[in-house]
Amino acid sequence: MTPTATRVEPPVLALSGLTRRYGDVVAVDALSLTLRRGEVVALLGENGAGKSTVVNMVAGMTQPDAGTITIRGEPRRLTSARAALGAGIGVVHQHYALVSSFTVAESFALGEVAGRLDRPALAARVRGLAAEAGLSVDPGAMIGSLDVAGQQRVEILKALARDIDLLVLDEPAAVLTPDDAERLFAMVRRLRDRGVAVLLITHRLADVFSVCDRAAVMHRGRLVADRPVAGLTAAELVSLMIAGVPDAAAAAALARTATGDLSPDGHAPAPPAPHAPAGPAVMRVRDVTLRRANGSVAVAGVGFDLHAGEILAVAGVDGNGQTELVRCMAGLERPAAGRITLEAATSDDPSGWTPGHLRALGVAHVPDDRRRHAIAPGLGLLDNFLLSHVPIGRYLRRGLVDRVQGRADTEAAIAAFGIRATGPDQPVGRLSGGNQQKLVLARELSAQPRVVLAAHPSRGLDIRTIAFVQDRLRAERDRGAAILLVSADMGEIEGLADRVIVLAGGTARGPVPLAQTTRAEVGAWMAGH
Amino acid sequence: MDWIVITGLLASGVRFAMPILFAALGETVGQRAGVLNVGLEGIMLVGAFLAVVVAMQTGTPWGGLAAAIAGGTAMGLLHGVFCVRLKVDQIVAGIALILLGLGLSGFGYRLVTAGGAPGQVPGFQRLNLGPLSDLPFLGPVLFSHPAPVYLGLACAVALAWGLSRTGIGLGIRAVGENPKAADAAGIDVDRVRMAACAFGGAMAGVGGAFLSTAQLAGFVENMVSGRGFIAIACVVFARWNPLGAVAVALAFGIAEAAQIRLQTLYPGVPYQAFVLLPYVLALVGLVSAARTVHLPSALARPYRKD
Repeated sequence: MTPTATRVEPPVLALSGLTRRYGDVVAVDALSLTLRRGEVVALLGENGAGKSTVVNMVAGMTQPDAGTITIRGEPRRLTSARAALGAGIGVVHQHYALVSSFTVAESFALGEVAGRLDRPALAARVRGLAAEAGLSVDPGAMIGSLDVAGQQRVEILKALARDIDLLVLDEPAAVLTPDDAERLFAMVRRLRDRGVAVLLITHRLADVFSVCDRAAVMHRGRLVADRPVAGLTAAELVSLMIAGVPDAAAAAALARTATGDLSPDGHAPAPPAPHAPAGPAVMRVRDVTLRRANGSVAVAGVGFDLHAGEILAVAGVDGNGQTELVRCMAGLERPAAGRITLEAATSDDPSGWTPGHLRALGVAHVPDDRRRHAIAPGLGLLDNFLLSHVPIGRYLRRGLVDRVQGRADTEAAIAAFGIRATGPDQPVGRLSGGNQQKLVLARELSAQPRVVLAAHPSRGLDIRTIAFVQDRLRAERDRGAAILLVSADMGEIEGLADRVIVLAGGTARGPVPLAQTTRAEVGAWMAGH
Repeated sequence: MDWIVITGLLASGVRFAMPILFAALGETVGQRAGVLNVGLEGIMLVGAFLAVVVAMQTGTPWGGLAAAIAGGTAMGLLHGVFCVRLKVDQIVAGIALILLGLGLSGFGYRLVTAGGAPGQVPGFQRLNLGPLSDLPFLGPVLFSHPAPVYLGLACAVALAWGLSRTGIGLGIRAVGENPKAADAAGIDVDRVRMAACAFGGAMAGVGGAFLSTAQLAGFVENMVSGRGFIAIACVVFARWNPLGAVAVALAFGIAEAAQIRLQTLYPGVPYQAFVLLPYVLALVGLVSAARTVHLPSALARPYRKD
């Protein structure tokens, strides 16, 4: 034995001085980060901190302007997804890269097989991989028929099929039920024990404490901390994410209003401050059945009253009818069965149940798919602001759009909501997601609505914007608006809602006052127990 | 109607179907990969023109066919450069192709024939498959067509198999359904789309060549007269399935054969009423298909990485 034999194994991934600019914006600024075998590292940061850009560079989807990526001691240029895969890096993106009309087995063959598809062999291989990883996956199932967790399992298995040393998971738990998230983390631990390095990109502090060894925090493109999780506190992490410094006191107040996921041991935050009791019912949902776009029944027998001055949360994992419920209540769809009525409506004629009619009666709608259903990205802030007003006759003078008034109100909204934009004419597509959402909210709340239908209003936003959005919703409730809040985030529901109804597995539970239930109970309902 | 009329109708219907079928097969692959080419009409015209000119030069229709494939491929690649590489709007680029093909073929034909009337065009002859061709009814309808008819049918079968049962077909479909997924799987999206454009152009060229050297023998300005658009309708009507395209193209071909016969049967009715027949069929088909079709999700959308 020679003393020099204790050669240090090179890290699986070493990023050094990595920089990526988009125009004048430095998305990632001289970032250096190292991952060793069997290490689980969390990469944290607010929206726009540069996490996604790091993922894209490691995945070969974007090239750095400066800096090096070293894999097992060897500098590599990752110029394509294929190159990254070849280097042993598997990436599970936030938005799954799956084709919904393919079967699971076909998804595995994509990009690997050129000639004839041997379906039985493919199916056997998928089953083998699934068994090895301890995941349950049916090779014959259509991707489009799987739920989010199922699709995620396919993505993870696809990555593992390439015999990787590093698995990058981009916001993996954000869309999972608590049970599915726990299963995911169990699998991450198994991978770690096999020597795979895992880079976990996340917003959720709970994920960091439950599975990660180290936490790397990004703030405005720069790495502001890279420390072992043991010895870190949630408050420190939040402060690092928001302010870039570990000043717990400054961040704590903001964090308390923003998330309920702060403490690793799962304590719920303090109950919301008492407020005036809810008023009369303004919208009634009776025995409603909702069908998905593909015709299958999402949920049946939903019934509740939405009262003035309350926030009623609709909890549940995506795809259980939440989208359809909001669309029906907003007049965009008709329920397959049952009735939805608005107290303010003068007639019960179902043909009058149109978005325009409902908007004129004071129903505001914040859709979940912002880019597709809430804004016209190519148009400016002013036009987007007018979008939900002009069709129902607001901002009209003798048949012409009163752009002077519209501009004044848009500028007022930009100021009041702190929207970062160059002015009312900047195309909305150029704004960050948070600023887009603020504009949508400003528009929807500008006419003192009676009812606010808010579907995932804070999804994908950074902590600061989340706190702002939630404060606005609270203010609307206190003004007397009836608010329906669709959310998958228990922390948000606990911090905001007065009552909660859970849609899961085709049925609805509740609504129950939040004070009369527990997080565990709601979590179990969400998981369909 | 007696058997002779029906036999004749179906036999010519098969031949009338082929230009549409070739173009539709190419377009099926293109659209499955997410590229819409509304310029098939122009490519078919160029194919028809080149086929006639080169067949006369070389003395064989196969030479003309090869030239039509080359010309069609070139135009398909041109479409690809605009739509795939430069991300130009696919409809606009397609319309440019129509006008380009119309101009190139018309002008080119005048140049070629400036020295006088063209001679005899060596066209594809109908095959004589011996006893098979002599079968009553089946012989004329199935077994006495020019060779490219059988190539077209073989092509449809091969494409149907290739698209659903091979990795390359999987890649083409992924590119048209979710290019991000294909990209993440290591597939070069733009390259697949360029190849699909080239193939679509080549097939449209073959369709034009069939028209001018197998169905007819000679070139006339604007002779494709809407078949390129019918081919696009055929793709949708057949739900992007190559075998479905065979059935739909045959329906169009037979409708066209029928309208020609109806014109002579009813000389009192304005002939335009009968000429409309295939187009009415296309409209009815598209409307009835519109509710249930699932078109490739990324159709006509350029792929940008960021």
